Amino acid sequence: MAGSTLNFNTNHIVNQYGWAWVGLAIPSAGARITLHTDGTPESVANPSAKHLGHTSEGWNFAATPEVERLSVDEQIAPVKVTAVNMNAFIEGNLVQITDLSNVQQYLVQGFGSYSTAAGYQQITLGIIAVTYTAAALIWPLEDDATKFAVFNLYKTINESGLAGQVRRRALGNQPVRLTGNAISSRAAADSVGNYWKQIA
Amino acid sequence: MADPKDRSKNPNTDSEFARGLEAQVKAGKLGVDPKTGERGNITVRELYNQTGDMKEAERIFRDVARAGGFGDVDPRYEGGLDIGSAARESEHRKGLADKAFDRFERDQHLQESQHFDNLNNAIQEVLKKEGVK
Repeated sequence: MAGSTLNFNTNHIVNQYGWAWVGLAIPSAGARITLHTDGTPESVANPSAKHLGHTSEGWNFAATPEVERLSVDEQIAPVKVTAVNMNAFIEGNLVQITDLSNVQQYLVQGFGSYSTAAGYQQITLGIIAVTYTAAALIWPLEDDATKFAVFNLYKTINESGLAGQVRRRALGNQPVRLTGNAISSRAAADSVGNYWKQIA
Repeated sequence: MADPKDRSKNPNTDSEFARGLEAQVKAGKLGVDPKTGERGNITVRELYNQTGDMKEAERIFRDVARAGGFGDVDPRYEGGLDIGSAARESEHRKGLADKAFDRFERDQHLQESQHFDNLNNAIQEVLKKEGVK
């Protein structure tokens, strides 16, 4: 009898930088955000999209479940596993830390208000209502740079707040961790986000 | 205090931010495809621009979100809803049905395509009923 095919395929590695965006439009349940041919969010569907700029070491993304293992008296191992929570996030270290109008104002949800007038841009700190944002990490594919992979979270908040470094011998950077939340009354299987890539 | 009409001295209008935003609002084209005139994005802000009534704007936004399967999206969210996503997904699934491996796969894709078509129709019905451009 014949054997089975091995799945070693270097076309599916990631060795490329990505772009992180916030302020994206939320797609219908089961659908995906609209991309332009260059991999950026299409501007008619996503008029408020904001790119977060340079990072010191690229981006990490994850969606990991917290599971509860249920056991019965008669078995030595758990008989069922239930996902009770999900930790989904996009995180990195931004370096454009004085970009208040394009970057910082979108990362201070729940405690920072942006304003500007002649001569200044500022973020005032206090207590305000939390406004979530849809975020996505987008990067070109290894085997076709005109096609892109997307990790999209529909309802995120930056849990790293506002933090920066001012130094001469290295780039000042600001940790960002956009954590995903669920949109209620959305299809249960598509309430947090999606991970997809374009194919031919 | 500077006369509001004296733009050169009024900080609320004499700034890059204000000029950019004013241009978008005046054009009324935020979220609308300039070539086809089709609306691809909806926010409470845009609805308020058209209706002048915040309660109405939020109500229409929630109706669109409910009709299109977007979920319970916060009306304050400025990113808005990608209202073209359902129509696009419907076409995409039709294309997948054409390339299906077998009847099972084809019928699944066709069913999903119909589902997204229904969602899109529901969205467009709400927009038409509310007179949203």
